[in-house]
Amino acid sequence: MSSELAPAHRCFGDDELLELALGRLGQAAAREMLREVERCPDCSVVLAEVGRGVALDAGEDLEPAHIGWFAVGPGDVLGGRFRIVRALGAGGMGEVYEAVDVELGEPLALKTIRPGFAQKASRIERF
Amino acid sequence: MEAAQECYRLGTQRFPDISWPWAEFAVAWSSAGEGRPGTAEEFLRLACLRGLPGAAAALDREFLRPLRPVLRRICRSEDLTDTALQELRTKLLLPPAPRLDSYKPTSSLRAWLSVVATRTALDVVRRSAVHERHEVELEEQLAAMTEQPEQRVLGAEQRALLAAALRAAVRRLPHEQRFALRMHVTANWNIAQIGRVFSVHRATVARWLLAAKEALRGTLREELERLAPGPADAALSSLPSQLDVSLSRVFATTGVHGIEEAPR
Repeated sequence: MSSELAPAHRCFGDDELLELALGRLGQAAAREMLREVERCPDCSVVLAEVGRGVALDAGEDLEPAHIGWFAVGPGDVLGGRFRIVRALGAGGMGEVYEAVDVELGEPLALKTIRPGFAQKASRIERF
Repeated sequence: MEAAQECYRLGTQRFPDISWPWAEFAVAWSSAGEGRPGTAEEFLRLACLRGLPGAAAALDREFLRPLRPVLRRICRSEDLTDTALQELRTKLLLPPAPRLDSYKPTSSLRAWLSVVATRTALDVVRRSAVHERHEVELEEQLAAMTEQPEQRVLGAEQRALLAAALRAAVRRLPHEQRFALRMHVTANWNIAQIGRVFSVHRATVARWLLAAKEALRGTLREELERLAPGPADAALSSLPSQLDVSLSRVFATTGVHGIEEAPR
């Protein structure tokens, strides 16, 4: 059940991991269990896979990690004109940054949209 | 008997290859299906446990073959994937204790099968000679991580320091940020799924990911500036686009064995 490289940890049963992936545990119990899962190589892999399955069962798209998410952040200049100052917030659709138009010297808010979210036209419209 | 009739109707509709007279199905239902949902999946499960012609093939076609990518991600070779798939079939279907018998309909059959498949693949990899090579591969990946473009201008010692800084920065993240980042980067979980396991709104997850990104970017920039204050400009400019690639490797190397939280 455990790797010799990992410290002692609890290994969870299949049904427990399924309940966790399905979001049926509630916040406190889920957090406690996730701390243990993170320390267990097998449970981590099982949870990763079953979580993918649960998302697909729910009709959601997976969201492949993409080059570019990290490309936007404070200090960056986008399009040679908009320098990002700081992050203001994030939501389900994307992130919002305080930026400066370096040509005009004016502050502005810059919104980014999550690639997974941008795949549907209706979402782009809402954005 | 309503659930049984619904189960039979849906099952025969979805799996027409499985020939099962109602009277015989009803007997099977009363002994193994009572109290269970009237779904096509349940019909298939009962048919498989009875060993009906066409049932195993239907399970294979509809549920097991689609799990091949799951097995492949863990097994990392076609041969081992084939072995795992075969073991999965055996484990699920063959007497004396077919695993399919223990499926509880509190989750979808597909989700439950993905758990059994993952466990099977882990067992196959653990038993194989490839397991040891896999451990070596992880170490090699760790070394390869220091060869990212943003680190081109750095020497070997500095690259190692940078890699260590990234790992330390990941460990310093609050647990929920680290877990969210890890599942997003390595398992392609969307923010809805991350929110689901934590029982929080997806916007909360988005804020966690943003905070994690800010923290890691900050750490790496500081470290790069410290290690190569002058000639590292080019490296700094290419850092953001490479960071998520590097992160994948961090999680691949430390995450497989679990990440220990840094002492506070």
